[in-house]
Amino acid sequence: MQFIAILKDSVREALDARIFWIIGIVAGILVLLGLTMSFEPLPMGKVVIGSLITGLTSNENKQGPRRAVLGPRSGGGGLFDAFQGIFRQSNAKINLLEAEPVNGLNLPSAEWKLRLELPREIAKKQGAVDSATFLRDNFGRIANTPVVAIKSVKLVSGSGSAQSDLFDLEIVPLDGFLRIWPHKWSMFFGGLTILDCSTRPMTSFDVLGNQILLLESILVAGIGTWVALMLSVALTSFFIPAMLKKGTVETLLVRPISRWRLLTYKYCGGLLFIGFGTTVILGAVWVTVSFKAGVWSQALLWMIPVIVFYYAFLHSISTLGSVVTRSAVFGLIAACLVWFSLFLLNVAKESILMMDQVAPIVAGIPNPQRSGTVEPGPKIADSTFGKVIMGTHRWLPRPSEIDSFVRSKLQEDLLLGREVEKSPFSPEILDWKESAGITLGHTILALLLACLVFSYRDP
Amino acid sequence: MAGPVLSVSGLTKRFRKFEALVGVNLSVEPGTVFSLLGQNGAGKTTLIKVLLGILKPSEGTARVLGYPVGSVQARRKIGYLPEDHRFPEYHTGPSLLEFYGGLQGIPRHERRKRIGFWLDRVGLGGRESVRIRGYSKGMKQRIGLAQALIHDPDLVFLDEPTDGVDPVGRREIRDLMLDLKRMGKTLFLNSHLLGEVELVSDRVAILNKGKMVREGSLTELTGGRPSWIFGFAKDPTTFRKTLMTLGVPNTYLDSNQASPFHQWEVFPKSEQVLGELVKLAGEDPGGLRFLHPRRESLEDVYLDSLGKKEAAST
Repeated sequence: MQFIAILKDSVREALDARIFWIIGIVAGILVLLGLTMSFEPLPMGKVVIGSLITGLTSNENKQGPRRAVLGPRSGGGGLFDAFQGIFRQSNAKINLLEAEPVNGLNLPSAEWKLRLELPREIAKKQGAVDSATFLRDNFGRIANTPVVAIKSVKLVSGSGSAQSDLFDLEIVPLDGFLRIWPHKWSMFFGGLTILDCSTRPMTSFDVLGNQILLLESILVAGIGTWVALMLSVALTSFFIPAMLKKGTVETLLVRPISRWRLLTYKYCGGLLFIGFGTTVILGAVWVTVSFKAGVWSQALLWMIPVIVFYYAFLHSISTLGSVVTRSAVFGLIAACLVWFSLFLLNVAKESILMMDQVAPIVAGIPNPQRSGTVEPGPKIADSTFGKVIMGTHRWLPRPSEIDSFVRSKLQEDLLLGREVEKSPFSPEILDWKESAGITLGHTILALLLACLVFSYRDP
Repeated sequence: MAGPVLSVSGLTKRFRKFEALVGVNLSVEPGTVFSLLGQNGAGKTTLIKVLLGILKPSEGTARVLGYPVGSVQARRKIGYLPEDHRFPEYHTGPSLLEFYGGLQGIPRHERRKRIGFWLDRVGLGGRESVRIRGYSKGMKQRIGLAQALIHDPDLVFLDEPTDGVDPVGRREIRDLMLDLKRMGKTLFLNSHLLGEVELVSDRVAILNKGKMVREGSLTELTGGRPSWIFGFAKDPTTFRKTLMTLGVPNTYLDSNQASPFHQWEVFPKSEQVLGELVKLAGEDPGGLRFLHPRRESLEDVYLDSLGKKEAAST
């Protein structure tokens, strides 16, 4: 009952501060912007199907044919390279002879009829019973996810050569097919073109999956997170100092509720309120983007707990600052300072790792003015400065790594099961569970300290 | 409850080196109105805050309603109106009472009933939709009283309850305090208005620089035996001679120039002497016009306790 009372009080406080209006306005603007956006499929069916064939054969190994991999940093063998392969007409061992949409429309929703020339040795190398079975089992899959269903595989009798057979395939598009299809992305009802490969060579950013990934991971999960967090911390920074005002706190402290509980309930009130706001805004953005793109990726919704989780940390810092100083401004400054310090620490850590990665490469570049090889210097990460930075970074909250969790979810969802790829400059695989654990630990610690100060200090 | 609702023993509160309360002893019986007097900074609010568990005592012990101060059990039965209260201004009267009622753990249906009752009782009925930011000082004081009483406490601490309230409102609040007393509640009153304290209090304590300098019932504090004022139309020569003969201490009151009467303040040592004097005064040719007792006022006691009586009269 006491928790509900404090919660309702927080809602009244938020209503009075017009916070719900702000949430509504922000959500409304984003929805309106989203509604002006369009993703228009380009007539590039043959390129997409060609990429599936290239992916089928571009990198064979003992485990079987490597699936085509999508992504902005595909690192070889990805869709980008697959497209390049088609254009270069070099790597393809399976030849796409014909590709026609059944209904005549060159669109991702169409069923397609294909004619392929498949060398017999490929099926043999992969241990398949025959070429038809090989095609049925492997064609149209990206990163183990089928993007098309094989309706029929027919050997064209009396055709082919001594080394290869001709096959007629009928394929039906699945969800993933739309995601790997090149689209023209524009805003303001086509007034502003963002990406369009109909007039230039195609890149991996031109497929719908990557476009949504770009939109959601950079604009929503990246910049959006920072804006949402800043807004949330600023809007709720006065919640606790207002409660601690002389003349107000006394009327609360005489109630039959312990001080730590009073503070924790008030803290949770802010948390629930931000959770609501984040759900409304992100939910609205998600529905709009998904509706306009036709791809209902649920990964973006992970942003809601992630933002609330990171806000919980910043709110605990702001709470501690407010309890110690009884000033909303100081609480806000404390949260912002901690946030900025963590950002700087992360930049320092990334810079050290990058420099340590680049140093041997630079040392290996031949220098005509000097003979012999140049030994790279000691790693910065091994210096005292480097150890301090890395050690501090390890034991402090890492917001950027928590963000990476959402990005990996978005990639998995939008890029058909692709794993989170290592940064080219980062040798470590991000452990978001450790990051979340450390952040949670710091949140609890800050809140605990705030409760101790509040409980044992005279108001 | 059988014992005192409030018992304080050797209570000391220090803020760093400053001693706000020094060895305060106190006992308040149930169903009484206990008033605390003292100058600004004497430690009255500090004492109340310690008794409410808002501040922690540096030394000494205190029990409220049989529980240690600050315990949840004690707080369940205590009401408090702070002096400089600042209720959240986004609330309306009913929503504020709903909030505090919820914190007190009053069930919802019961809360609804009590909110309506107390809003009417403190004179805020019909103003349910007005937010506190639109309240006058008097209205804020009234809603403050309602929040202190919403959970039907046994002991109510009122710090300057009539501060900022107009005379009619003051009277209403005074009546409310007397009603609460009739209902068996114990009131701990902190007020600068000595007249108000005299009207409602059973016992009074005076705090000076953190120390309890006087404590007792109004009769005890203002003296058991009053002096008597004799008023004559003319100079009572026989009466004056008798006073001298009997050796009765007296003072001629000539300070009030506007009065047409000759007045003597007389301090008879016994009822017998008083009887003789009354008889003589009635027969005096000066013509006795009035006779009334005069007690020491609470203000006199208060100023005397603070050592400021002479300073005030000069």
